[in-house]
Amino acid sequence: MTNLGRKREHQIPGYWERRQIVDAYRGLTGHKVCEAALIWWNVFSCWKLAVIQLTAVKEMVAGRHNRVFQTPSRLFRQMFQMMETLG
Amino acid sequence: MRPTVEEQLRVTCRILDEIVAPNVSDRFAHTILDGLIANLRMLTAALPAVAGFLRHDNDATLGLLSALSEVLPPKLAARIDKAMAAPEPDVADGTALEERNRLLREHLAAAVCSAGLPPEMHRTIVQHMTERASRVPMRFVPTSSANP
Repeated sequence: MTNLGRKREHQIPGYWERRQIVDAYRGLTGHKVCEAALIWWNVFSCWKLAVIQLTAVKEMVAGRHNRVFQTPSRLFRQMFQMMETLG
Repeated sequence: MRPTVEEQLRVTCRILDEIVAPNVSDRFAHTILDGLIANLRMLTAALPAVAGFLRHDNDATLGLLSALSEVLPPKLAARIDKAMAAPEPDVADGTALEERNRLLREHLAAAVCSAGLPPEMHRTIVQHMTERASRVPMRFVPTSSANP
């Protein structure tokens, strides 16, 4: 849920999306969920995954790794769009 | 110029996918080949847009650096002034466009890390980055063996 790039793996459309997950968490734990804090974790998660993927890209370009990785531009886009919502 | 680069890349992908891949029995080698084919497909789609993207990005980055310049440390501002004074590369010179882009992005990275940037500048930088990310021509292409 923290990494929107993995939405397809972690969520079920219409049943187990962000709102339902947050509501279930609130219901089970009684904790309040700060939307801005959650977005911060989403941003952090995108950034972390982007670093991992860029490291792999760098290793591939340097000839130290044979598996092909593409630049994670989709992650960047999601990350910056979320940062914009935080103002 | 025929065949175009795009045509040649496309046919290379097809041959690798239809002729070579089915005859690669080693699982690891097959995974590598799948990745290579997907990457070639991504490049085939992106290639025609790369020069245009770089020109636009160089202009946009220069504009942003110019707006940031007055709140940046003098040494960095001087480097930015120098970059701004340099002539734009020939639009047909892909290597020079890439190098210009690399230099401008390096200055932007240094500017972003500068202490004391006012919040409105942070917002401007994020807007710039969002816009840039939406324009990047190299978009992820999954391997043909990836789940739909």
